[in-house]
This record gives sequence, structure tokens and C-alpha cells, in this order.
Amino acid sequence: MRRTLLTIILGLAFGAGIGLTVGWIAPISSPQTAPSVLSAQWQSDWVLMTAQAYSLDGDLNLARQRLALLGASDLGAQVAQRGEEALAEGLPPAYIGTLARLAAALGARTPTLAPYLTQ
Amino acid sequence: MIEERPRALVVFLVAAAVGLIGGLVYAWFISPVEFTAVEPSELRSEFRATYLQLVGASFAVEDDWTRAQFRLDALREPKAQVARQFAEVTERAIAEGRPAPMLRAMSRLADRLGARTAVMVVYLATPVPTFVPSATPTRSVLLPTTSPSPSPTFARPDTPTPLPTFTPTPVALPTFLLVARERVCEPGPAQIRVVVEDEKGKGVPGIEVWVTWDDGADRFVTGLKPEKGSGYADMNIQPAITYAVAVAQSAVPIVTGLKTEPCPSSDPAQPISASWQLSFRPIPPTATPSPTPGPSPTPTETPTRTPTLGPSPTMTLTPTVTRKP
Repeated sequence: MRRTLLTIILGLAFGAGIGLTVGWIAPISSPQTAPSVLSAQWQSDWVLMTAQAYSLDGDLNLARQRLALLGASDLGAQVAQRGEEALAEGLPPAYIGTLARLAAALGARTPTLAPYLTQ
Repeated sequence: MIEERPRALVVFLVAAAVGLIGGLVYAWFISPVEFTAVEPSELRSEFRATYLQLVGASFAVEDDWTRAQFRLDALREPKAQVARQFAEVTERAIAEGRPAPMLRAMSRLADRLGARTAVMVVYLATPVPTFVPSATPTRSVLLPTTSPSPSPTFARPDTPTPLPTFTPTPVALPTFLLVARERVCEPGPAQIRVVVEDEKGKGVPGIEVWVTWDDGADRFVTGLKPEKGSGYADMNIQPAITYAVAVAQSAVPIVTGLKTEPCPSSDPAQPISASWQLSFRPIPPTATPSPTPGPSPTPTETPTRTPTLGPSPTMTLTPTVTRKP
């Protein structure tokens, strides 16, 4: 009886181990995801590209929609923060300018980005 | 003892099967794997389209092929598939009437990816604004590093990356000929007026007309002003800008160098600017040229067709001035 119980426990553990491994490696749902789960670096790039698109089309609603996909609550602050990061990274002033203008359009003005509003 | 072993094996296998099912149910439904810090390659198709639009817009601002290529490579798909997807996104942007600089950059990028289509050619043919480099010294431009898989910290290379070989795609040639080009002086805004007729001189509605100029392009369709004729369409033009006109699926302008000029006016207080009226008719089938590989991706000059027509009292190629009271 004791041996049978041990066999059952071993069998269950063995099967569960394989099941969990297979289930997590090959998930049943689509692994394809939303921009909100992009890595931080790619989210930063998303913000920069959104600002650049805004500099071309001037469509603030569209820019908002694109930024909202990243899931941040304060879009203006997110863009302003990216602008300051861009400044620290030494990106060209024209790129920083696009971020500064989008941030300002979203109501986020910072003293460090102010000089780039006209870039 | 001999009978116990097979029995134990059966018990083990049954237990393992139950454990396997339990493990799968847990991993798939109770606690499915969650994705964090993914790359653009994991984006769902709708977001992937947005990403491609953003890459195109960014290329318009940065004019940096290496950076654009890096971003597209992050989709981790075969280049041909990325090119096809990018071409679709570009065509959608053109249909939505996005700003000309963006469309031009997207068309250039699509062209560079080898995915040029007929609707893009009008943007490829338009002159590209001169890129003014920043005077401020900048450090190397860092692009995102991907996580969790080890890779790319991107730095702008000192030497240009070898570019893919450009394979020209066939360009649609005009199917219409300019049969009359008339300078019209009359009060009102200066316009380009287009009349598209069939072989019998009857107006043809629904023909797409592209007007391009140095930093823009516009598209309109004949027949939207039926009171002026079913093949008629017009567009207001500005002084000091030179326009080119392409009709239907033509990838190259049929008429170039159109400019409005002041007309003689009896009342100096009310200057009149000249309009251009252009009439087009289909090229006879025997004269229709077969498509040939097109011009370079960003031609500086676009070829102009010089129509040769038989004598006809209604067809003239010589600009004439019509003064309307």
C-alpha cells in the first residue's frame, strides 16, 4: 500500500513537471503582446518615434493614442522624461525638440527642455 | 512480485498522465506565462502596423537608413515580409492623406526595402528637402538594447553599412496624353484645371489626378464637379510654386513646370493670376508603351512625354492665352 502511494506521488510529480514545462514553454495563448510590455529601451524608442511622427503630422490625438499604448497614466510626463533622457544621451537637438514640443502639447513643460521647443 | 511490477508501472503511468494534465491546465489557464520586457517582434499585428508607421515617421525626421534598418530588424522577420508589411502601411498612410514629408520618407524607405508600388512613385519623384545637419556636436546615438535576449546596443557606425542591392520595379507609364494646354486669365483663384476625355471626346469621371510640387503633393478625381463636365477636376495653386501633373496610374508626371503668372488686368487693384487648363486623352492602344524598369529611386528630374498627335482642330500643344471678360 505504501509502495503504491509512493508510485502515485512519483507519477503525479513526473507528469506535473512535464506539464508545467511544456505549458510555460509553449503557451496556449498568443505570445504576441501590446507595446505596454515592450522593454524599457524599446518603450523609450516608441516615445521618441511618436514625438517625431507628431512633428510631421501635428496630430495630437493620434500621438496620445500611440503613447497610451504604453500604458502610462501621465503621457506628458512620460514624454518630458524621455526628452531629458535624450538630452543626457546626447541625441541631436532636433530629436530633443520633437520630444519637447510633444511634451509641451501634452501640458508638460520642463526648464531643461524649454530651449529645445524651437529646435 | 512478478505481477506487482506491471501493476506499479500502470499506476505510475496513470498518475503521470493525471499530473501532466494538471500541469498543463495550471500552466495554460491558471497561471499562464506573462510577457514582460519584450521586443517589437512580439507585438500583435495591429501594434506592429503602428510600429511600422512610427519607423517611417522617424525615418522622415532622422533620414537615417541604418537606424531604420535596426528598428525593422527588431521585428525578426524575413526582410521580404517586413518590406511587404511596410509597403502596406505606407499605402495606407497615402490613402489616409498623411503629410507629404512623411509619405515621401515612407515611400523612400519602402523603395529602399525593395517594396516600391505604383502609388509611392509620385512621392519618390518629388524632390526631397535638403537635409540640414545639426551644428551641435553630438555623441553616438544609442538605440534600445533588447532584453531579455542579449543584443543590440546600437551605436551609429563610423562607416556606412553596405546597403542592399536595389532592384528596380516596373513603373507605370502614362496611359493618357496631353492634348491641350491652355493658359486662362480670368478673375478668381489661380487653378490647375484638368479635363480627361475618352477617344471620342467624352468626359471620363473617376480618373485620379496627381499634382506634385517641391514639398508636397495632392490628389483629386475627375467628375466631382459635374456642372463643369464629367471629366473635369481642378485645384487651386499658389504663386511662385512649380507644379507637375500626372494622370491615372502614371508614375511620371505628364506635364511639368506649371506656374501661375500675373495676367494683364484692366483694374490694377484686382490682379489676375493665370490658371492652366489641361486636356488629356488616352494613348491609342497601338502606341501604349510596355512597362520598363523605372527611374532611379529618387530621380532629380522626371521624364516628360512629348505627345505627337495628328492634326485635329481641337488639339493643340501650343500654350495659348485666353482672355475672358
